[in-house]
Amino acid sequence: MRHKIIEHLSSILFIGLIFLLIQALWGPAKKTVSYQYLNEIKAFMLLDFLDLSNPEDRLLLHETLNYYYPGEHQRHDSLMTEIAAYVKELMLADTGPHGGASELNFDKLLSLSEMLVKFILIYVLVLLLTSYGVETFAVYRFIRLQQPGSLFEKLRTTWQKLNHATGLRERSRFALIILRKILRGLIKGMVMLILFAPAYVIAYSFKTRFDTDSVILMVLLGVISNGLLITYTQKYFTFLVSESRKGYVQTARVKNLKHDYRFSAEKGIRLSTIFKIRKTFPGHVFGHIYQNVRFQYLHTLKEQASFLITGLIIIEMALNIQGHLCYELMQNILYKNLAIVLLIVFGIFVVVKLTEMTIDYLVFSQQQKIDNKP
Amino acid sequence: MIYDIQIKTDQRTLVDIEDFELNPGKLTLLLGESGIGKTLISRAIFGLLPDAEMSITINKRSYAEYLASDECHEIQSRGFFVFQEPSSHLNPLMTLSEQLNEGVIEDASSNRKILKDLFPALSESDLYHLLGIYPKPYRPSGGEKQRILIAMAFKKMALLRGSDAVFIFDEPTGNLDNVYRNIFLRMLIAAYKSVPLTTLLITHDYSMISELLATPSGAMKQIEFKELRISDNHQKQVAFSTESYLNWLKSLNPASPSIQSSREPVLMLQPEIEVFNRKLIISSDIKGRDVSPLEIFAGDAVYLKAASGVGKTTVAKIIMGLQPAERFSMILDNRTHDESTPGSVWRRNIWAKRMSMVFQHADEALNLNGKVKDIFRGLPLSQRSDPDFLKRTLATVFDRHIAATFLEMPVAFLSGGQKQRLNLIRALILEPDILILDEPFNGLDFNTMQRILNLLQELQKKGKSFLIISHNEEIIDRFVSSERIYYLHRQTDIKGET
Amino acid sequence: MKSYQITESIEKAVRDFIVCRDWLWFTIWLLGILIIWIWNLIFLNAPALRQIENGFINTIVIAIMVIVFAAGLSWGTTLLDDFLHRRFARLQIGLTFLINLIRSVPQIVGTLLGYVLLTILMQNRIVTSEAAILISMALVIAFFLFLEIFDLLRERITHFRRLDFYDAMLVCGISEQYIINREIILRSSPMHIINKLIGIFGAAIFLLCSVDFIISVGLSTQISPVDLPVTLGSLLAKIDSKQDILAIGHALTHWNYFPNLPFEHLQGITVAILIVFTLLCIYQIANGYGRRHHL
Repeated sequence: MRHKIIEHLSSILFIGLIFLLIQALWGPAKKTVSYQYLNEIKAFMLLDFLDLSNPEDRLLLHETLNYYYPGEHQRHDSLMTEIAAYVKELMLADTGPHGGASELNFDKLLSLSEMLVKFILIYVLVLLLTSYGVETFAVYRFIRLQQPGSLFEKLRTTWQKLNHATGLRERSRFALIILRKILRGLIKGMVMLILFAPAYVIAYSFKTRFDTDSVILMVLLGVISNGLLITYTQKYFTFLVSESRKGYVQTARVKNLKHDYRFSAEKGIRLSTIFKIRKTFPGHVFGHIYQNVRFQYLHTLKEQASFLITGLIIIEMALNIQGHLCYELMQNILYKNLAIVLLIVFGIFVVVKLTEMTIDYLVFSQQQKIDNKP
Repeated sequence: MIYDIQIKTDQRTLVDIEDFELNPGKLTLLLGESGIGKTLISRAIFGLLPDAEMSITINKRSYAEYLASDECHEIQSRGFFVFQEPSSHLNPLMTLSEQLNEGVIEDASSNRKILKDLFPALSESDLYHLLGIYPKPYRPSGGEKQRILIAMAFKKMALLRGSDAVFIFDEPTGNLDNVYRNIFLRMLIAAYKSVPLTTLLITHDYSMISELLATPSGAMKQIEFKELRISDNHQKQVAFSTESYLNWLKSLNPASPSIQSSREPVLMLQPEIEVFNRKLIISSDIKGRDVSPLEIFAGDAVYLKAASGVGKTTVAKIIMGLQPAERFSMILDNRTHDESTPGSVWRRNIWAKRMSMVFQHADEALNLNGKVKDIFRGLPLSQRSDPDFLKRTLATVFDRHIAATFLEMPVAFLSGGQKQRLNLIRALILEPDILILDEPFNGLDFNTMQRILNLLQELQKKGKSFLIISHNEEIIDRFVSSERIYYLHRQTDIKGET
Repeated sequence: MKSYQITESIEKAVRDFIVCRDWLWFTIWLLGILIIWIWNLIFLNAPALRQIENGFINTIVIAIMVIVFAAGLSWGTTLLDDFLHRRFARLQIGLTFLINLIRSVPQIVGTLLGYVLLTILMQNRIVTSEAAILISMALVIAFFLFLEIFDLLRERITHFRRLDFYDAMLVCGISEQYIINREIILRSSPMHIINKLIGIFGAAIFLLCSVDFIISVGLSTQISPVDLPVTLGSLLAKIDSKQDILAIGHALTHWNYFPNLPFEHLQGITVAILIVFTLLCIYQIANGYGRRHHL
């Protein structure tokens, strides 16, 4: 464990040093592009019938030059490119930075720290919610899978019953059942589409501006979009399936632990236990499986957390939610404020590292116990 | 009870047997090559196979019907199944005592006597300590884990109160030394005195036969010896003739005459070895007093014996340069190899040229994703993968004409015994001067064992030497002359004995 | 063959096809794309359609390149890691350190910064041709996705090293290179690798669209200083597309507006559907493939 902590801390240090280096090398220097044809450009700017920011006018200028000064195509090409660049630089300079956004003063640091704390809070909340969701859905799906009779079979038997049924009442009953199942399938498909959609697709379906404080919206989006729930439910489910094939499950069966997965209190599994936060399955073979998967899943939890952070960052940036950390990040990338960009990225990196350290610690403490170390 | 069982996957038929007998009230010892279906059949009877992936019929009924039948429920609720591989059959997240007192065998009162019988070498406090640990790969040892599983079976037996039940033991003694194996057999036969049990004991340890034949004649009436044979995907259960086995055993003789003192050993390993912070000693007597280096001469067959878990395989790996050790010394080709010799020396001079090793588990040693001919790819053979050459080589261990289709067969479809033979051939094809064989007869049936022993004797006459590690003591003791037997001890064990 | 035999064999073929869920979903994806394309051909104006086509093709091409680069990077890193592990153990610690560093950077942040670097290179005219830009985009994304395959390969090698597999082949004179490349990677792990690659294809599309969306959205209030090739993400960020998607939300509350969606708001809805539908299909393909090979 000490190894791992040292590694995590030294990577934080390492990145910090690299960022300082980058800041030192490229920070203060304001890039000034030198223009070869500066005098000519300035002369053209003074012409009041020529609007150099309009591409049509520029094209006209280009053709005129080529017409009147044939044989200097090369020079004209590079001149036009420079004009385009110059004009763009002017426009960027016009839209100057907001007051105080480019300076890294104490107020700025404070507001950044506030935003970081907000970010961490949302992140932890979403992580807990999705962990619960992933576990519950995967367990539910696994147990349903073990129960006898798949959906396809049920559909087929209902179809057969429909064919053999006599009388309108019977037929309509079976037809309704089939219709209901198909409808359920369709709804499931819609839900899947929503769960898979990237956050911005869902969000922009409803609103265009997300400036106002929208922590709940962020949490909601963070949990249901980006395909997070589905992907990790699938991984958890795969763990459950592969663990259920292992030997000790067979030994537990032979010891006559319950192995019926139907939803019943005495013989099988109670439905309500699946939705608890602390799930226990006493006296049931599934207890063994769940226990082992819970421990093994911790490694994948790191992946889940990382993907979650990516999702949250995407939400903040794509939805332009002001007052949030990643919106600041994007703004400062745009205005090329290197110091602030590096600081925010460093902050996010530290959050990821802290998560990794926490999960490593959880794994370590459990591992110590089962490795028979005191 | 006669069972008619078919088990098929969508790729092939795994089991097709019409007359599998499991007679109530009898102890049936089922021998036969590993991988031909003994485990599948026994699991099918007990109702433990996954219904979804295979199509199974028992006595002309579908498996789902069988599982729902009273017969199957009886077997499951009153019987027990001891599985083959103890490591994967214990939950790594529960202590041994938790697992021993779970489910229907919750009652801890029967623990004491059963555990005392199975763990005679441990004191009360040691036993208590053992039960409090979580099962990990090396601790408790494979033998200890297996005995825990056996203890569970006996606990369930104690619950029976006078009526019959089906107990299936699938290779329960694979990790056990002879001492513990015999304890288990005696406990099992003793259980028959109180309750008529139906027991199926699957094994390929032929030495168990002699031990069982030594039981008093009253109990002998309840023991049946059967063998499972396979031909063309069709299994048959036949009675096993213990007499022919014993006769064969008597006729077995070591190949080469005793060592001549003028010859130089091809390999000499100094008797003191330090590895994993443990000291190991090689001696030529069973008590460990007569410390002597292990010497292998040309045309020699040497047998290395030790209690389970001491480190025979580790020593073999040290000799092969696969396991770094803290201290050892070996002379090969007039050159000393010790703990400071770099691995490249083995790679350049020894592997496949002077020495090779055949490992215990053919399933691990062979690439199950390839075909038979792929096993020979990548080998430094002078004659490349010429199909005729391969066929001729394979015919030396396989008892039939090798068709071209055999070369194309996926390794995963071969039986355990066939895989073990392929494993052996891969090392033999290179004709190394010294070959280390780690449990070479694991999972082989009687006929194949004979064939391989003959092959080894032929090679011995050509001057090849073998170092054998095997728990088939009965057989190898006769194959190897008594002066060529060495014993491996832990230093602490020897000190304890004086 | 009698007629019922033919129908039986057709039925069996169809049933087998449906059971192969990965091929089923691949076909569904292709058919879906085809239907959407034909619908757009009829109802969308030509310039917009051309943009959507370009965007879609660019996205797919980049994702394919990401797979190739990720596979190559991970293979190379695995071999390097194994080589260092055998010969220079200290250097391997350094390599592991660097790899963990890359792993801890959230993918979107890394991709974004990579894009910023790319735009700087483009501004200074170091990278100019469209092909070079596409390749660079793919490289940036592959750099943050290849570690998954690296982990898989390393886990497979460790798994086989622990068994007798490795030792048994070594003592028969088979070289380490052969064992790792042929026996472990090519012969024993191709299905695991392909399964991961399918997942990475989906992750690449997700990341690509997200990054492009963010860049386009974030800079839409100013002018974008460089012209990155159009992809589905940047298409989605355009004002007209955003209006189109907004219409979905509107239609949910005003039911009578629904029929207008597939005709008047086609551009945005098409792009949104393409992204979501592709991600869903890739997920199902990866799932089906894994289930079929019992991974």
